[in-house]
Amino acid sequence: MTPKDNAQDDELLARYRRASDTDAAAPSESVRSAILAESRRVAAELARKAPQHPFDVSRPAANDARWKITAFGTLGAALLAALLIAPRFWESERVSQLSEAPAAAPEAAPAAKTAPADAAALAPATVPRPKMESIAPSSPSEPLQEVVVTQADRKTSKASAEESRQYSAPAPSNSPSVVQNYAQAPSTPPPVATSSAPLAASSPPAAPPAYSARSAEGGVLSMNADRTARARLVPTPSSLQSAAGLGDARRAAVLLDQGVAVDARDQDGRTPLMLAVVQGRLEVVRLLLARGADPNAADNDGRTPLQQARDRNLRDIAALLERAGAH
Amino acid sequence: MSLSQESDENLMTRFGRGEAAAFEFLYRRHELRVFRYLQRNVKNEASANDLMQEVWFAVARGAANYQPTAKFTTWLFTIAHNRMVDMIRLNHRLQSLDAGEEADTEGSSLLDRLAVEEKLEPLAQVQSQDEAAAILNAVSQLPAEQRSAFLLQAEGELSVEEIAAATGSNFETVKSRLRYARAKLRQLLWEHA
Repeated sequence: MTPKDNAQDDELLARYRRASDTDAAAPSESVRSAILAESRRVAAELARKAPQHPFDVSRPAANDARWKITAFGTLGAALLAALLIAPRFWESERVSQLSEAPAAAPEAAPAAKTAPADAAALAPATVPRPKMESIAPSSPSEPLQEVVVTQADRKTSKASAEESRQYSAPAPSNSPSVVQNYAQAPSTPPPVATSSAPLAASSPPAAPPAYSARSAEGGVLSMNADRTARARLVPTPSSLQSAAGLGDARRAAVLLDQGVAVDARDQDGRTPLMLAVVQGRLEVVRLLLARGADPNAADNDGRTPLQQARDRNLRDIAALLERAGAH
Repeated sequence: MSLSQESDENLMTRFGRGEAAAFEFLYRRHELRVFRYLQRNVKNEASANDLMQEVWFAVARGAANYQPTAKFTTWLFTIAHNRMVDMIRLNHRLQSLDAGEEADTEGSSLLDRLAVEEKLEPLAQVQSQDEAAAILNAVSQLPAEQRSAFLLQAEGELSVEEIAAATGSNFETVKSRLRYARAKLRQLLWEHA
């Protein structure tokens, strides 16, 4: 069909419509009335049958694309959250299975729970203490304290300062242990719990690492919390150094439990103890010394932890290092 | 939006919710086109009136189930076409439609019905009236299927596809019918001139 044909067709239609418009033919009035009357009847019927609120008009319709944006956005956010969270659970499962290995700790729980006098009697049956013999008392009148960090220290430096005050004065031998204090006063911030007990230089190892013992006895910190802490850790020397520098005693303890070398050095020859000293992390210093860290280890520049503590005027830490044999 | 500005589909939807006024607007909008389609096909005013009533009753009663999936006019003229065919079949007039035997005896004559365009000169008025009558007579002389297709296009403003859907015919068939109808009309008008 050519454009000319189209034009002719259009012209024909136009002529027809002009002619048709002049035609006065129309339905009769009675038919018109009947149709409109019927429509009113049907309308009334439809209005009566129509539900008042067939659906919630405040919500977008199914064919309205707006809901899709919200739905897909929510779905995406949920998926992202799941991707971020899922590895933690996965790691938790794996590490908790791995951490079942040092199961000797729960057996030693009663030893840590008993009084200091009883501890000596029970100690031979328990796991040997790691290198506590190397920490010599600086003064015979001052009983050497065994301090074992059992929980991560994620507190601020202010909290650390408060604790350092608490530990700067040696606890009397007949005073209740800090563990008991924490147990009796649950309102006390729980992250760090220490166990202090008089320790004779010649006495045999008295208790296993209190971290495991306390977990087993269901103390302030639950085993679940420990497992969670383990779950986030990768047992590498750099992890331990990082935990030491950040003052995360619980994490450091877990890493040590997992076999990370306590004196692992970084590229500058610094040990975790040095990093903890430099950052003023008293709890971690205690922990590392208790776990046998060398207080006289020097970095590549020949600086020792004690020198660094003195340079920074960290008297509590310096005193602790001196008691551990630093010179 | 006022009812007069609403589309056919929206008016139908509103009527389906019980608004009688929407139907009235819809009816007024398409009344003459449907009636002309029916009347020029059945060539009988009384029959056209009967069909008109049936068609619009069907529209009103079908409102509850109306889904605006296609143009309202396609649906409307489909109903009109089907009702008309049903009536013709019922009255055994299928063949007589082609013959165009049944003249409109009850209604007024075509020339009487055609309105005069008053702005034209008397001679031009007569010529205009005469031309309109010639075109409408030519349409009435078309074969039934060609006439129906042409009227669906001219009055219903349906496309070829829509005519095919309304009449249940093949697209090419409808196209062919329209081509023949226009050719016949041109010939009749040329003969009249």
